[in-house]
Amino acid sequence: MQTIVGHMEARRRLARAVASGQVSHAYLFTGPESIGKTALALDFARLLECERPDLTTGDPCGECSSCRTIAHSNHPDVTLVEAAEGKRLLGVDTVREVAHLANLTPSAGRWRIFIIPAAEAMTPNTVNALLKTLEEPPPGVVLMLTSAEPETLLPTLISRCQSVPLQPLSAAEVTRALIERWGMDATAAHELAVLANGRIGWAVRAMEHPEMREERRQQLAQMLTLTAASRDERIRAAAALAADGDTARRALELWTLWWRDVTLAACGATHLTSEGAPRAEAERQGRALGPQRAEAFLRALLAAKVALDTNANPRLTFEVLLLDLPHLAAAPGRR
Amino acid sequence: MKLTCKQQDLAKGLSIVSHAVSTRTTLPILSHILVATEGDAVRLSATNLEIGITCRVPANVKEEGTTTVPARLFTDFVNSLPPAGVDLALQPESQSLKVSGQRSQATIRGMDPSEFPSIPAAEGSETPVILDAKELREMIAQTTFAAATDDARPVFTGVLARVHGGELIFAAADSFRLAVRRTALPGEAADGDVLIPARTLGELAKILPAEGVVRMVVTPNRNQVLFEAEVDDVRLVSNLISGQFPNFEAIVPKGAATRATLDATQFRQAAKTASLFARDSANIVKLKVDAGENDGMTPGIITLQATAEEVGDATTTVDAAVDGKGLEIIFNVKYLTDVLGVIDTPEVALELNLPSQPGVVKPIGDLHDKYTYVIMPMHSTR
Ligand SMILES: [Zn+2]
Repeated sequence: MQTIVGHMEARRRLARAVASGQVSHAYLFTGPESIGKTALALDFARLLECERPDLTTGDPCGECSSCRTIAHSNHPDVTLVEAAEGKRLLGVDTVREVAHLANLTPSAGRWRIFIIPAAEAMTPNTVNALLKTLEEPPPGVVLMLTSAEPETLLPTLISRCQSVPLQPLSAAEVTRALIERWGMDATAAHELAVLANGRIGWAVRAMEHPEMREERRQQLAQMLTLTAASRDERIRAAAALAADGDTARRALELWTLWWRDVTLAACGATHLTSEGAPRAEAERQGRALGPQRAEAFLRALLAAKVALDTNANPRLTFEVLLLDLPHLAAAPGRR
Repeated sequence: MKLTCKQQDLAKGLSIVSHAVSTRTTLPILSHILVATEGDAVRLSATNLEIGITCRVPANVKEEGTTTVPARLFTDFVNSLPPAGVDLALQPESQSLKVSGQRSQATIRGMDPSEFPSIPAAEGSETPVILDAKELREMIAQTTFAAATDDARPVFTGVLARVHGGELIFAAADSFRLAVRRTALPGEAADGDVLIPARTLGELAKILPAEGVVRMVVTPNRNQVLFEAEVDDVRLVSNLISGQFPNFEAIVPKGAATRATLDATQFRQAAKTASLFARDSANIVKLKVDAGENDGMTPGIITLQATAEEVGDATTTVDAAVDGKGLEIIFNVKYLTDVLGVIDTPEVALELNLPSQPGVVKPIGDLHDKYTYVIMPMHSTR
């Protein structure tokens, strides 16, 4: 049975909780998109329901009926709570159903587990419907929330969950997993890992979709040059990016990862920058801008994401954003 | 798997298990029905995240086997076949079930049956509670309506099933009323409480056979309750509600200062009439109990009065034999029509103390000691 990629420290911590009988009734897995938060929650659910777990390593057996049915999303006590088809936000009815089921005893296993990915995609109403279950959890219920934007969650929600912060995987971890588990050759695996920025989920999807890799290569190149671009070039870029909502979202996500690195570099914390994107360029931009300007633009990026999520006009959002983008001379040898 | 059965039997079995097919599940296997040979029958099973239902359909089994099929598609197809023999044949390599009726046949793709949640059986359990199907249905009808329908207080969405002192007690309540139905058990049964979702018992009532023995068993881990009817070997298993039901005995008034005996049909009709006028005024109906005279000439009378603001009012009287003094009390009329709708004895008793204290409705006759309905009075708004 294959365990999930990386996150060893978090897995050990969760295994200790199971071994010592100190399982919390609610967990919040945080960290950037596609680094395996939901996969880790499912892995934890398997460990809890497994009939023969190895509690020293934190590995579920992978063979018992609980392990198999969870792997195929068929376990009656493990529910992956997702927004209705075609909806971005989790509906209040869906969460009421969770609250209802949480009051019932488990069918097969010891626990009733609800995994709620992207907890930030809940309206205040939806959160309210969940709060009672969080405040007075029925025995045997474990809620597992994940979020890439925990700072946007209601404090009442955060305070009732045990936090499990996760980091992007190292490029080495992603490379190794791509080689060992998905049979990629070493060069291709390394190249993909660089584009992935520590997001194994993205790497696996991109493996089957060359167009994802290509788009990212272009976005990466564009991002590196945009700081040196003229006003007109920026407005043209904004129009192109805003033409398609999903592309726009992915670009924002990539830029956020990049500006995280620039900000870290500006603060001198280069050991924390991801190995994915070109490190030297992040350091150069960070040094040139200084921490305050770098962080200000990082905040502008996060605000733009919130605006897009609440249906702001994409083109306007991008124009404002790109005009806010600090201006820097091109790196020597670029353009 | 290779078998032949009758279309009518198969359709009936599917209509029974379809009560447990999930309508909005995210688990792929739960939109399927498990089809498995069992001796000279085929067993159908369906389950959602709350209940599971399984039953046996007589069949001529030539080859054993198990598979699952998508519930809707399979049921609709079987229902479209004429009443004649139906052949089921499984191609194990592709997990496809070939279904052949008189003029049409279909191949339906299934899923790995080993992932279908198992539905326990009563067999082997130490002391099942033995019930009569007819009485069980009555017990369900007389209690479930009193349970709450929203999840604000989860324990109130359930019916307490208590085995104690050779009796089975069903109790359901919301904040304003309580229904308690008991029955004596024939054999020995281990004492214990479980809290069964009222919704589950509603489904059980729909699929119970008209008569025959029904066994009730709590699974060893006390997570599920199982009802197993002998006819068609229909089984329903349900998850339970976690939590402690309040001590309902304490809510039942110990005596009655005023006790009225009424004709059930008249009382029901009077309550219905009052409810028409109470609809727009929070269902308020005033009951005026007149004790009458002890001379044997002036009988007791109960007057039901409801007022619809701006529309009018209605007054209906019901003859009553009244013990004790007269009084006026206000009830939510829906709580009266609800209970009068599930009592079928000719006469009922209404027991009251003070206008601010709960009233009790009971059937008169054999059921008198078996059924108690407690209803909280409302406060006068004027
Ligand atoms: Zn296992």
